[in-house]
Amino acid sequence: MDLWLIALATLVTVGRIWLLIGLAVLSGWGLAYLCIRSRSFESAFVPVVNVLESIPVLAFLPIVLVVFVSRIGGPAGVEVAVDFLVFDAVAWNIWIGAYQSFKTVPENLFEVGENYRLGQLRMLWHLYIPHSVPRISSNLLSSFADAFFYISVSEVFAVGIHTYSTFGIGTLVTGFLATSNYGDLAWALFFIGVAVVLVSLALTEFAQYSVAKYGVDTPEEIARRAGWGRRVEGWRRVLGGPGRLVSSRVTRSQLAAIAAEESGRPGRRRRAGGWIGIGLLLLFGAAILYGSVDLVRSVPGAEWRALFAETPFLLYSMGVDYLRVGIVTVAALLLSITLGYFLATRRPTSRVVTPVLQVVASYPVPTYFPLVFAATFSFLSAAIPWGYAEIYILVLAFLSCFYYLFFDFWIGVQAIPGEFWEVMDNHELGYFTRMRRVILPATFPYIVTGISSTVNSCWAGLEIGEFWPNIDGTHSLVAGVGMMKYIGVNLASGNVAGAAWVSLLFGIVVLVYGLLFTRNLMDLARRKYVVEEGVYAA
Amino acid sequence: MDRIGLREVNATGSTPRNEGTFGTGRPSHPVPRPAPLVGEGLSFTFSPPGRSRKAPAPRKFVFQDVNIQTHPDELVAIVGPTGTGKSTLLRCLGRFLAPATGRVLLQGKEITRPSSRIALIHQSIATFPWMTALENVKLALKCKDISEGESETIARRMLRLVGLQEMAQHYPKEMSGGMRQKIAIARALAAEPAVLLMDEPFVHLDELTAAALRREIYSLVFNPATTLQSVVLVSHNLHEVVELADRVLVMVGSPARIVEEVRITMPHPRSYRDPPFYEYLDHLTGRLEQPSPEVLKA
Repeated sequence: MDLWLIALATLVTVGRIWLLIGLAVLSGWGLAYLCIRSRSFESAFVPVVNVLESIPVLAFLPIVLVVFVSRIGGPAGVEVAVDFLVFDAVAWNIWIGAYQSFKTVPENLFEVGENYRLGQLRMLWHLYIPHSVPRISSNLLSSFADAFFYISVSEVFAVGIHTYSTFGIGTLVTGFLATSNYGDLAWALFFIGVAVVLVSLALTEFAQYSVAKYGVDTPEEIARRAGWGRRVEGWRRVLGGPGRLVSSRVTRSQLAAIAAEESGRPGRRRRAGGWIGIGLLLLFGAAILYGSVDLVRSVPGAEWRALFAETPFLLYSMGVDYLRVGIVTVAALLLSITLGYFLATRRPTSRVVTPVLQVVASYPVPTYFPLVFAATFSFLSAAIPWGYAEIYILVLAFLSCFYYLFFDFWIGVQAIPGEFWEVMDNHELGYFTRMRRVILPATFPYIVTGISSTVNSCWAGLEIGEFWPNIDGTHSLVAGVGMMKYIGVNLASGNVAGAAWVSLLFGIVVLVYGLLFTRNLMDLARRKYVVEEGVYAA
Repeated sequence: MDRIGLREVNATGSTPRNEGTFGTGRPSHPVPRPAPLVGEGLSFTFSPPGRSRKAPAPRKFVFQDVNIQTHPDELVAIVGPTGTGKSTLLRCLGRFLAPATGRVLLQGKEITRPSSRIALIHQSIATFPWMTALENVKLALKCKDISEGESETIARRMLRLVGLQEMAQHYPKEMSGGMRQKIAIARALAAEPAVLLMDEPFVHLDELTAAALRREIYSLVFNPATTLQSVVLVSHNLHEVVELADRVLVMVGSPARIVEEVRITMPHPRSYRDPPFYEYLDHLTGRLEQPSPEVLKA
């Protein structure tokens, strides 16, 4: 194939991602502004975003297919469906970043604005938006990585006998794999690599620039290790890390706190404009309701009864998938703790390895995994004929999510105050004592967030891995049992209702899991394991 | 000048101790012991932010060729203007930082890494919020080969020493700043250090708390129940220094050097109402207000 076409497809995919990220930023500013103008909008916005953020992107797939592909139809419908999935992958991060920034504009700057009687638009343009730039820029790298992951698998998908695709590198990669065209596939992976490296470098530079220009606080430049903790905020902004590690760490823990803090904070007048927010909220709710009702009505009653009858098996399949998620998460945790600690305590090595890991993390796994499969299939299927598929699934899921936990833990270790390191050195604590007594408790909030992000992303890996027809052009990767396999098989056979039913069950379970597990752990982390409380400076 | 024991520092940076002149009432040691802590020819450098990545600025000395020696049962204070590297020097003495040149000897043996025999008390009071006061102190004993019961006994004894025996099961966040600093001190002493390094330990406390803690500290650190032999204190607060120190090292310049040593011979406990107290204070203030030799040269 013409190399220019591959390059063009890469550019189109990257351009599509950036357009959607731009849309997310613009809408994030608008929504954040509505939040600070309208208390009622804010009180609805925060919990809605919290819930939506905790539901994995792919749970939306069946609804998206029904609403966009079936109703709109044609290339436009596919394009909108793909764009919606990618938007869902990037929007929550950016929206929450914008909201947090708008809510934490320093009171004195706000008063200066009021003093000079700046109007609403000028306040937005000269105060709120500049203040949000560092925080949003720190989220861009992770948003880009998330979007690239999803776009590479969502540019082409099959429902029943129909295959829907839109022009982009994801579609080309799928085609190359199906025809075993490894020469062009290598070029496609090369162009993706170039795009990932260039975007990562550009975003890192932009993040540094935005912190230098728009950051209210300036990180200290202290050569000794005691300065690490103080610099972490700056590093976090610059490095960001893949996935939702930055923003998800702060979302649940800080959204409520920010809202509570704000409620007792005088001076922010909320004038007219709240009704716009409420209107938007109602519109959003109506769209969700329409999609759901549309889906329910499109399925005959007999099929609903069949779905109910199948529910126990689906819950069992979900249990098997949770077991996979558990195995992957534990493996990710063990590797993160050892490698993360090693890198965080060896700065010269970290300076080399961490950027490389970031680029690798931004590289979409589904684009290169078929090569790993093709290279190892003969050996692995002969060595473990009964379990090779399971190994591929677990490895794919692991590669999709390991980085989230790793980077969260890595940042957590660096956020440990220098004084704590000196106490540990002073008392000559060994590795395991350090880990058990200091490092793990001190990084507990980061680990909880990392686990949450890892679990969310692990589902995406499982969704791809449990049912991947013609992964290398000749073989298919199919799990024995699994909820994600069920969704994939039903979509491939055109049974959208079946897939949607599982997605609904899954959404409910995820929500309950989030409320019972993640939130409780996060509360515990906030209550007991706040490392900043360990250094007293009255 | 002689009355308040001033002298310019010699090449070794330290006056050999004259046991008879301190008048602190502490027991003298007839058998000569090695100096608890010696820093020889210590220098520390850093890289200032370069104008460009290709042409980084050359490394700058924070302090250069500093010699320090402590003597048994002595509290040495280091004073100097902000930015002279006093805290950095303290960390080099504890080998929390590696000096560019020079070496550190603990009781006659060179050390190259932090040791529980040299305890550091931080300016920002460092206690682990997820551990009770007792657990914080017990942490210092983890590296020792002792049983859990023994460890608890020692930790409780240290807490009693600092007057926090009733607070053993409380978390640091339930305590005042002064109490937290006492936990840090108890933790430091539990490891049976020979030398205590204190980096402005009272700076985050209100004046009344700091004054009370200062009074306790002096008797505490040289309490026979502890293994301490000497203390090095870094402070901006000259009142504090005159109240506590047996010897004061004045550090000025860029790169900083120890330019003067002041021996304070007033008996303990010292009061700011005593006339010599102000003589020392005036002298130290005057010395710190003098332009550094580099400024005079320019």
